[in-house]
Amino acid sequence: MIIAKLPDNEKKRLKALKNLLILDTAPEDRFDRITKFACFEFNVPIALVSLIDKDRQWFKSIVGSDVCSTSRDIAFCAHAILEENIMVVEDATKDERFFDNPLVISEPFIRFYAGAPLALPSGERVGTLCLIDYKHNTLNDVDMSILSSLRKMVVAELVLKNKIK
Amino acid sequence: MLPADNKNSRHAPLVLLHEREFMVRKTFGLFASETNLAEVIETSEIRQAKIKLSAQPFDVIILGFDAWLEEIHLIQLIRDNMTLSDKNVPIITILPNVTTNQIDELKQLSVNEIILKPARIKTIQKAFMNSYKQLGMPPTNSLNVVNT
Repeated sequence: MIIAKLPDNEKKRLKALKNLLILDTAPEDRFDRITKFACFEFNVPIALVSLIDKDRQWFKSIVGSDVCSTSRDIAFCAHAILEENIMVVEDATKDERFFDNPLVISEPFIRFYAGAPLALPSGERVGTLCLIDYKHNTLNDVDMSILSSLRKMVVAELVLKNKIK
Repeated sequence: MLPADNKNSRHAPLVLLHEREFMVRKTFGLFASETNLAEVIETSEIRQAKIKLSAQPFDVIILGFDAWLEEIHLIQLIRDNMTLSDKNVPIITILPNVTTNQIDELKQLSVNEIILKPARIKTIQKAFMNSYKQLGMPPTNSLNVVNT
């Protein structure tokens, strides 16, 4: 397993995340409807809005699992926020970053992962909208565009809440 | 994402998407805009859809059904040339369910595609591409029912 390196702008990124005032808040339909729709659209069992905090990833919305956070060290999303584009892992057992990750070799036995980074208008990537499957999977160009549109809806909600507060 | 013949010769097609389901409406609108597939005007109330149809012509109409009669009436208005859109404008319908009689009725109104709810964005995109390719062509007698 390869632990994701910290983004170059980690301090600024964490500050932007905290400023959203969303960590450890209750589930909200405006996010849940997006993750529910993502599960349906892509026919995957798990979809989540994951926010990468200093030492953990915390789920603002999750469909298909009861887990509300994991250690950042094992988070696929910690890798995904290092990239500007959607990160797709078609088969985690064949990826050197993840093949022996606890989330792959034990529950929930992740095989497929697609994470769309949630980049704030100021540029910081605070988390991901991601899809998870227990079997290997793939996304075509249309799928990628749809996931990107859903990601934009999540960012709009994150920023909206911040503006209101 | 537009058919090659149309890509350079015109702007993105203007689409009216009438659908009550928020996620379908918003996601397709955003997806179409981001990919230059189409410019989408969204409505969630049939009254708004009528107002939009009387204000400007559309290249494709995507109509989500809730109450059968209201939506059928709207299609009749379009086909009777009572709106600004071409009376042969491609129409894609999204229905919760459909009977054989209803399929016949939609056929008679030259509806291009039927998608069953719940509808995936990729299914609507595919139906849109099929319909858009037929723009300017005479309506066909075949009607697919797509279970998304």
